[in-house]
Amino acid sequence: MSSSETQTPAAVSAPPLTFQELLFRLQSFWAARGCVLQQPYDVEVGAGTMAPETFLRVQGPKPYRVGYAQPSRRPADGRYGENPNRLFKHTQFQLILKPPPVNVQELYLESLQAIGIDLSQHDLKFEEDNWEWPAGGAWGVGWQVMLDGLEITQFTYFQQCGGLDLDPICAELTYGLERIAAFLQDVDSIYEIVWSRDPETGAEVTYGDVRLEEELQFSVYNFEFADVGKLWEHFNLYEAEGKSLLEKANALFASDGASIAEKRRFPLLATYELALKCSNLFNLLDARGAVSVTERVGVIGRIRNLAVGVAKAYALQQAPQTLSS
Amino acid sequence: MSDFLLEIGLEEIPARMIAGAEAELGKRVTDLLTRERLLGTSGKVGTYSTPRRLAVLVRDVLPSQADTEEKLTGPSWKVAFKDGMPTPAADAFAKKAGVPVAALEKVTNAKGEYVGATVNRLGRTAAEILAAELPKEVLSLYWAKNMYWRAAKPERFVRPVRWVVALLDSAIVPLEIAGIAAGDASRGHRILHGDAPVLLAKAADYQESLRAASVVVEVAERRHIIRKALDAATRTVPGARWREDAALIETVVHLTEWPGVVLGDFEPEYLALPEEVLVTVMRDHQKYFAVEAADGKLAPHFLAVLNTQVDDAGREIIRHGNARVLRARFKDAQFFWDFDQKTPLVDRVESLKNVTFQKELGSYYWKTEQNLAVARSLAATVRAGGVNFDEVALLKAVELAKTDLTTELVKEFTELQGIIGGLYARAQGLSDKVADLIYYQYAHYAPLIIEAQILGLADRIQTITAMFGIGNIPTGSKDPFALRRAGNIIVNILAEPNLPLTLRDALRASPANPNTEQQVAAFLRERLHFYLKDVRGFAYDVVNAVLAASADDVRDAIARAEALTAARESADFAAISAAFKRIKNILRQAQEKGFVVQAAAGVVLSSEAQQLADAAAALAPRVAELRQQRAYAEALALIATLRPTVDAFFDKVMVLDPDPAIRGAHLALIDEVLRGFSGIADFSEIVTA
Repeated sequence: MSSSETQTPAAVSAPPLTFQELLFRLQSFWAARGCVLQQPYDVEVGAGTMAPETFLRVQGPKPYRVGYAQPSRRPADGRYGENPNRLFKHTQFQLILKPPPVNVQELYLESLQAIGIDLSQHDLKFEEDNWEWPAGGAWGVGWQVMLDGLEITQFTYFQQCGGLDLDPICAELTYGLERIAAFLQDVDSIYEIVWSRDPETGAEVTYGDVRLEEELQFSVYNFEFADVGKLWEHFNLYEAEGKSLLEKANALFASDGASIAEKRRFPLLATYELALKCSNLFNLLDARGAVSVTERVGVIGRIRNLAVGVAKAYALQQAPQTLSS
Repeated sequence: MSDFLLEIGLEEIPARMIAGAEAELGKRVTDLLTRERLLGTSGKVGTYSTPRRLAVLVRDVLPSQADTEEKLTGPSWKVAFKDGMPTPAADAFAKKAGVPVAALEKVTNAKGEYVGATVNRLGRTAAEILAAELPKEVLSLYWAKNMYWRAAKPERFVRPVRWVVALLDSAIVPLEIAGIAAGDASRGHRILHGDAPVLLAKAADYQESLRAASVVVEVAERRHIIRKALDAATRTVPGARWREDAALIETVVHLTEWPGVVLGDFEPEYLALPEEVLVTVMRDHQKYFAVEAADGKLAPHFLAVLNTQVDDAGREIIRHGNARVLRARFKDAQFFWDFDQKTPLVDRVESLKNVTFQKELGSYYWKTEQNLAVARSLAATVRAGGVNFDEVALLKAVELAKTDLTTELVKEFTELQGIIGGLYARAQGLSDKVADLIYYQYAHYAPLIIEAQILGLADRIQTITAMFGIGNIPTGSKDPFALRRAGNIIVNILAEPNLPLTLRDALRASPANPNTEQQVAAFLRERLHFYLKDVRGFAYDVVNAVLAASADDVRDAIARAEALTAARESADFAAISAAFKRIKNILRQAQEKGFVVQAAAGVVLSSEAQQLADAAAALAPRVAELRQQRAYAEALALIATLRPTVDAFFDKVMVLDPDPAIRGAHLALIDEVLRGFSGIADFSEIVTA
């Protein structure tokens, strides 16, 4: 029997969600459950976790719920738009629930119903998958959520971030939007995903229409044109500025003479962006094959020093008792 | 008699950890009930688990501990009673014992007369004890990786605890685990049953109530269901069989509460990809079972184990979804395969500089250069031993062996390294021999091809000596670089009859740093010991005896161990072993006392000593010759003929004669006997009855 003859899940009723409708539904589902909806972070990141809305907000005791769609760049994963399943830049819908509600898994399952997945007609499993980002001193335990054999979400209970134990912890849900959309629409190539459909004319714009050119050109840049010497220069400049800011921050937070207001206004968020810049530049250098064996560990260590340094300083900045002492 | 049920409800437990935790929980509960005298004579502990729960159901729990009577002894009678009247000491003791003064008794023991009291201790109830003790037991369960989830981190556990059921028959046992109070409400299958609680009227209802909520709590039953369902689904394809995979069965058993199976298809054109790749994708990445046709070749189908039950429409949807994922994965593999062909293995050697072998040692380029040098040296030894082989193919394979590490397919399927290199080599027109050598390089048993054996030896001995050189030496349970495994494979290879190499040859080809030379040699000897004892099953004393004589040539050690194992059965040989032990002891004493071991000229020996000397002198060259021919059984039989002479010697002769000249001569004689006949094995190591 040929599997392509069978009806697709959503073809039974309404047409499946477009890429943008999928995002709308997730956003409104979680907004209705008390989440702040943020915009994507406007600095290059490799994953939604690295955006400050996750990396910094998970620190400290303050409850927070936030969701955002984060374009995530992985230069080495680019395939010139030729591979139907791999992208240089994919989109994660990233959700942070701090602290996690006791029914967090049930809420998650409801969110799947909200995007048109009738769970009584599918096979769903939570399979162990732990997560770590060594350069961010971050790790957690959790699952990959498998729907009919497809990993649709990474579900993580954060335990540490920036080398610090989290208390309370948070649940991080990362929905892979391209995968889920391709699943809902039953297409074999990401580029065939319907991104939007004109409600009047029914005219469709596909993922390929929107993004194929970008995948091609960035693959060409990342693998062929990116100037290794210049990338290193950029890396060194961003790192130097980040380091010097971090030194100032540490001196300031250790000083008894400085006022709380002075400590509060110190630009740690800007310092963190410098760490993110370094991380992206490293990924580019890596895609160019420009990081030698001996350098690699050292360079990751330099990024870690910045990212973890900011996380630790940020924890101090957020704790009023530390600042006032 | 009651039934006791404990169920801990969790968010999905990692499949790999469930079986261990279930067994440990059963043991902890059993031990607790036994320790507290709560397990009835027909007490039986059953354990259950699914991804969302661990449970224990105990039959025949006593409602409470039996009451006990305790005899207490207090102050001496004389102090407690004056003139028949109780003193304050008697009052205090009675109060402490909790009995009236009138109930105090006189106890007479060896030291005299004392005040005694008989106290009845009421047994505590089962509920009381379980409530107090069980939470600790549960929270002490071992997990390979655990987490905290509650504010202020009061406990660590594998995943958050979401409900607890604790019932003695139908009564809730008031215990609390990780902040969750026990009740009588379990939960059913997430989708098939939904969020409604599953109320358990009594403990004994556990299995059936959960079954009604679409949860099969018994692991063995799920395993049975899955096997049957795999059979049934496969029957729809004529002549097909599913590929047995016990490890995968265990995984899916622990990923399901209500298992089912669906058979799906993939496009036959993907069968052009190597079977190794297809099976790895299905098994490791998708947890699917592979299906083979009657001829044993892979068929274009897969079997997915589901954790749900659906109608026909649902089955189609699930089949379609799984097939879609598999197709994408195969397409990926195909893409990687095609992409990798653009840079053949021979053009990838240089890029090994970018792949770390070991941080302190260098890259795989470095490793390849080292392996080449070691392989050349081993090849020269083998050639000198008169064995012919294709050295060009060998060196080509060594040069290319690690290049598949730079391919996309190996980056995707790391478990297929070596195998993919071999497949690529063949596809890229390298000779079959080179392809095979690369393909089998990580196999536990290198095939009986001289070049494959040399390659396998070179790679592993180089790794061992290099790792020892930077202090990465296995200790206890720590062996992060799997050097013991590498050592075992070296011994396996050297045990094969077609390769004229010894452990010393291997070490000579890959010289260890002088500081660790001794350690590497000892390590290899240890591996040989392990091989003889645990792989070949020789008795430990035989292994010790054989290796004490020499531990270099693996095949020779095996032959000697075989001969010795057969010979030790004879009474004569046992006596010889005992005599050799005695000789060793005497020589040790002599050395401690500083006795001279030398026959002075003109010493006249007793007849028994002279006979031993003559017999040994006559036998020694014949034994040596047999040893030379590796006719160890015959050599040992010959040595056993010494028995009457040796026995007579020890019967009649005082070895440590007071006369230093005679003593010296005796010592020289037994020393020579020991040396002359210990070349096959050190018989003194043999344990005699």
